[in-house]
Amino acid sequence: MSLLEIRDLMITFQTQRGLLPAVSGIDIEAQAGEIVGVVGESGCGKTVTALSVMGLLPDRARTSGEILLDGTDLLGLTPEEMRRTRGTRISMIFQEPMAALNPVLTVGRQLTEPLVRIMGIGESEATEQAVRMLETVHVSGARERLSAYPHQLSGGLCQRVMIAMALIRQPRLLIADEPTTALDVTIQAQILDLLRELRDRTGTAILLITHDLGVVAELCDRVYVMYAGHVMEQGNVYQIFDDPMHPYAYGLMRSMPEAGRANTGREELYSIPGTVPDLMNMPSGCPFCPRCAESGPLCREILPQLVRISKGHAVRCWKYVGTHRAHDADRTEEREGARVAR
Amino acid sequence: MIRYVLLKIFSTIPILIGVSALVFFLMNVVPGDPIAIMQRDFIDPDALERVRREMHLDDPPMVRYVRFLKGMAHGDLGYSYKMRRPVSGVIATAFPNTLKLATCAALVSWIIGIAAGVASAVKPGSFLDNALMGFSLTGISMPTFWAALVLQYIFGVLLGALPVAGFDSWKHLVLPVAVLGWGQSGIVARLTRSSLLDAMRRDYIRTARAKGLRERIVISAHALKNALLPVVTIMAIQISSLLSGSIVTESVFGIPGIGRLAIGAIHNRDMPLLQGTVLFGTFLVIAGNLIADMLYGTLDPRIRYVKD
Repeated sequence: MSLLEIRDLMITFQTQRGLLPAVSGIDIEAQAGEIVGVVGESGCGKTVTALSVMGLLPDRARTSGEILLDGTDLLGLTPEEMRRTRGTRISMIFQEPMAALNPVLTVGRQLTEPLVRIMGIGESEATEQAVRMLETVHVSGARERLSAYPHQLSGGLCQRVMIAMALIRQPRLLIADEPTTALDVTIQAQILDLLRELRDRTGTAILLITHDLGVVAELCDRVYVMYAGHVMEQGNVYQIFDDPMHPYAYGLMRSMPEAGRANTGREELYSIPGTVPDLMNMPSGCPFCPRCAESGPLCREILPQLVRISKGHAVRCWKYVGTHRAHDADRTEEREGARVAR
Repeated sequence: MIRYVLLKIFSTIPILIGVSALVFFLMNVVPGDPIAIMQRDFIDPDALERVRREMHLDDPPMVRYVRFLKGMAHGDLGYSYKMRRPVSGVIATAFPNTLKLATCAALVSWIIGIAAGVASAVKPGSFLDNALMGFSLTGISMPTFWAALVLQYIFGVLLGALPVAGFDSWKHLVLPVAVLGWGQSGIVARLTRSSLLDAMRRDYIRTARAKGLRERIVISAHALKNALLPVVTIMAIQISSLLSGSIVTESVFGIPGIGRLAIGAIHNRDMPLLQGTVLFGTFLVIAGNLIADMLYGTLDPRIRYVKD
């Protein structure tokens, strides 16, 4: 059994313009000790997916489907049960570490807070645990840092504190939402190394949400490429990077600057034409179709199923339907049927 | 920090001089003669002239102002024309009454204001939120004298439950504190609400929730501590203006405090006393601002005064 299993997750927001489908039936899995990347442009639904796993979506969001953590459906928990799950079984770190820490509380107070307030551990024992945790994430002078305020620390240090805070109660799953986007490149690499090291040491699974393919290549075991609320392609990191099959996925790969390639200064970086569709007025059929150079009449009509290419590698594109076996065909067809009827 | 405070205290001196000059010369322009008002009943021109000379009121204004400044430098605020007592003594007698009223009104307004603001912000748009904010807006918008009269009529005349004027027992405090506290709590409530709503949208609140903290702790330990920073500033300024005397409330309820002294001094053209009350108030407002400044620095670790 997987540690995390998201099945047919749909998330819609009630807005003044009507219902906005942010995530339209995705399946994501993560095994214990695995680092799974969810990659896509902003607005593709990746952060919303992460927040739904945490149970932190705003009230106006409606979810359906299943989010199984060790077999328990998180969507079926009461708010109180969900609160108890946060921090103990799943934790999350965020994009802007400076803003994610409370400016008027010391680092020590923020680190020990869950231990003292929720687990009822004594102040001094909690402090010792906080020091050990800061040492684990390689913060030098850990004991002195406890009395520091977030504004006295650098961004990289703040993110280390965030990671220490997230892992202090040994969760099984860590969700990292763009954990390095706000940091300098050198600090980025350090944080990524730290995440990998912590995974190796503790066996915590990491669900990494990012738009940065470099981060994915650096860290992830498996990858889900999302576009407009759908998973377009999934596979292990070699399958996705060496052999991207979906036109969106290889568009993404081509638009990545390569450090190794000699840059003559004349060569323009590739970009995918067009923009992400408006989620309120989604085209019927494949959402990528308006930007796709290879689209045909079928693409505009019906959203294809995920097609299995090889073990673990699947793609949602008509190009491969018929040439490869449809992945989990029954369930996907059922969903498509409902969509066409609507 | 000490340097900063000393600097602030010395910078009040020119402000005090400026305010005193303004009051002094304005009172000279205003028609009315303190001696004539004093001797309203038996006007004997010779006697008037004699008193005027005795009190040095026949000197040109500039001479009198310089004499006043000299006295002030020695801590002497002069002699009240009307009360025939030193101004500092008159203020010292009246201040405890104002202090009692101001402290009670401030405490009431802070407790009610912050509680109402938090209750509103926790469920914005709810019935409770609308009711509390309506109550606050009413408190802010109602003219003090009108609110005082209405409360006096309801609780004093119709119900006969509370005295309408005087300052002898705690019962006499209830209505004036209610009038002052209502208006002031409205300001605190609205500010607390908007500040807390803003804090609740911040990233660190999401972090606190992600830690699995109870919502009550998320609000009290994480959001409120940030949200109260601007509120504390307003509270310090409020208490200093309350302490410098509420002219309308004290007049309507017949409370012998600083506010009533000031209005009496204006009626009687009692220059030294008016100067004294105005300068006293100015000093309190400056002190209140200074305390707000310092509190802010203590509460918000991001603000620290530059050391030397």
